[in-house]
Amino acid sequence: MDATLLEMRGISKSFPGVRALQDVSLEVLAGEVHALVGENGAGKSTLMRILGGIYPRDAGEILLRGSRVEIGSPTQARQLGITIIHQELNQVPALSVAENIFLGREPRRPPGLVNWDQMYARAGRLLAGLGLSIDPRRRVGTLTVAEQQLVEIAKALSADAELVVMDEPTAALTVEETERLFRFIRDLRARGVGIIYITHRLEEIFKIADRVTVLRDGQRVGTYTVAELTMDELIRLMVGRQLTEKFPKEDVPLGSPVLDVRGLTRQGLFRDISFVVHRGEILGIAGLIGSGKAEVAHAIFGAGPLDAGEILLDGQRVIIRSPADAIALGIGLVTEDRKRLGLVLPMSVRANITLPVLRRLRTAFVVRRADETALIRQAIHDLDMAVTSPEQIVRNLSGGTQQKVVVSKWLQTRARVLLMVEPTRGIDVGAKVEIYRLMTALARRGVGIVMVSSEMEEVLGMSDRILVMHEGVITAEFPRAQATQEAIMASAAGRVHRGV
Amino acid sequence: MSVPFVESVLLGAILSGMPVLYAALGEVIVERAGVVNLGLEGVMLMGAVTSFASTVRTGSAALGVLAGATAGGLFNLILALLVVTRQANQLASGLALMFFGAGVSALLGAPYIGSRIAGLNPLQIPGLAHLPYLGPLFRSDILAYLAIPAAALVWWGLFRTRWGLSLRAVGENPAAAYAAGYSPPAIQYQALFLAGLFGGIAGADLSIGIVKTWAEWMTAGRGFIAVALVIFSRWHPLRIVWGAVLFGGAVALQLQFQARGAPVSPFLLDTLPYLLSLGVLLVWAGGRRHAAPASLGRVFEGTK
Repeated sequence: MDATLLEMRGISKSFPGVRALQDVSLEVLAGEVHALVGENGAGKSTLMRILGGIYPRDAGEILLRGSRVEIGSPTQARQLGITIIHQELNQVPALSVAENIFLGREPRRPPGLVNWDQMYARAGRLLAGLGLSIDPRRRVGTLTVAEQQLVEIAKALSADAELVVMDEPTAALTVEETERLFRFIRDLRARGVGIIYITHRLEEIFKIADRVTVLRDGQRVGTYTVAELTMDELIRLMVGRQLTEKFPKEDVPLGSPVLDVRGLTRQGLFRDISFVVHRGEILGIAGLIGSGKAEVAHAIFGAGPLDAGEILLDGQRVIIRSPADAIALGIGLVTEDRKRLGLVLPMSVRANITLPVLRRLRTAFVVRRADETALIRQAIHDLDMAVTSPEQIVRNLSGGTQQKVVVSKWLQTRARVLLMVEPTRGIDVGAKVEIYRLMTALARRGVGIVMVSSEMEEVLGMSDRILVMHEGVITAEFPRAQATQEAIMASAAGRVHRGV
Repeated sequence: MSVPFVESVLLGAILSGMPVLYAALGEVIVERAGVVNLGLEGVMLMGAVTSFASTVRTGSAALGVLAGATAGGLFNLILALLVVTRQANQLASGLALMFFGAGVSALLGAPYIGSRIAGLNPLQIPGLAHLPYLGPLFRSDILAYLAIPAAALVWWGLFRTRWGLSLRAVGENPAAAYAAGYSPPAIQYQALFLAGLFGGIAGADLSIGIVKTWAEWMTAGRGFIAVALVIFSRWHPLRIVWGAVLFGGAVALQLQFQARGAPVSPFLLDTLPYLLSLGVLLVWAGGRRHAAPASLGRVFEGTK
């Protein structure tokens, strides 16, 4: 049990503009479940990608059973006995369960054939051993996500891995399935396998992990024995530092309720979501990935049907069946995926900003160029966009400026409600502050803002009020003055905050 | 229906269908590996001209087939270089390859226009060759006999061997195949070369097996029919056989109508096989998209 299986020493990794990991060390013993935790963006995934041979590291060394190893590819990682079960499953939906399990290490039969009988028999035994009643001949694409997850775990077990990394393995599992997974994990541990367990569900750590390493902002906070730690201590270690004045939030007097949603429900994603946003208010919605918070914003915008609930705008009941309806009613959506959904990357700033309002700028079929230019100049000036000309291609702008173009587009439509999902994702720190300033300016103009974010800091820093979601329901509501990172984290992890 | 009519149509179905079958078998291999080869027409033309010229020069039809297959395989490596190594757009590259093949084959074939050769000899199967109705099927050349076994071989290769499994995985999810230790580019190169061999044989079958002469652009769109057949067979080599026979039958049928002076414009009759292909696509294509390899036509950029 005491043998050191894996040592990662002084690992550093930078991406253009971001220091993802800085001098991070991690030590995993054989027969240990080692949890790896940190907020989104703390560097967990990057560290595991380095371990899995997907990213090269900039500095540091990796030792396996005491000897230095170089892991240049996923194949090498596997040959060294390292198996990574990714959050996004790397499966081939059109192939069978058995083919997926054994892809790359099929039971062979000369000349160059697959021993299909043996493959299906082995897959069958493997699945049965895990208590799974999945036909190994079924196509993986026909399985539920949970079943696919379990197939992935079966694959790891069949590979005789010495070190198994599980990245959020329970995200799609039910309670029973999670219990079954924990039994497998304990079984693996008893066999001397080392397990790195990544999760956002902190309560799981106390159920299954022996030790925990906490990462924050790409650095290692420390490694702790789980038995000597409380949930509150763990949360404090994760969120750590004080908030600095990075958030130019002003108190804006609140106006009348502009958006009022009641009992919004969409099967399997969220249920009974009710809240009110006032003019000039920034409502933050916090929650982990998969909590359904982004889906709520999308649903209000008319992207995806509602099973129940109603939406009132300025006190009037409205029906929103499509984004076109939402736009016509004065609702804007700043998507988390601006490159795919928010912008036409190969087109100019001019085209992107005026696209939704060309109707207003035309005479018959011709766009009034002079009016368009005047509008663009005003927009660029208003948001202080770093562009050299309205003809600049959006693809070449920085993330922050791109986001301003998206926001500007919605300002042209005279939106009264702006839904912002992960508004600063992938944007560097300086530009983030500008986006926050922009939000404040919008609020001052009387726009009601719903900010959905996984970044705890910005939720705390920018919101007048904070809702927390967990598994599709609102578990807590905090006024700005009462919100703390610890309380939000606890609610996001599923603890119901009393006094809602 | 008279015996000669049925015999002619059957023979015609085999004769016209088999080159398309060979070409489509090659195409199904590359498409299962995630590459669309619209240049198939050009590959067939290269195979046709090379095999014809080789047969004229050496006097051996067997060497002609070999040369045609090799030419097709090598020609397809140009596409591999473009779409696998250089990661160019597959559709544009394929069309460019098609026109390139048409041009080069016209150039190489110019001296041979009008030449006639004995080509591949028909092999009569004793006892069967003189059956009524079915007789013509047993008086074909070697390539016609081997076409359907070739389809079975391709099926076996794709669905029974390790190579086939890896190839299908590449066509569906190259990142997963890479993570499992396979090299998507290497597999796509292999698939394109092999498909080129099939395309070359298809061309050889046309020029030295069936028509026994060389004419510019003698494939007359059969390469594209083959691409369509792959889609309507839902990327399954055995179902391609039916499509190829259907197409060949339509060609033979319209030729017979023309020969017998049916009171329909010959130009309209000429379009019959293609109308049939369109009709089949119209009926079968919808709602079957899920059968296509998931990464068909996409560029695998490797993992960052």
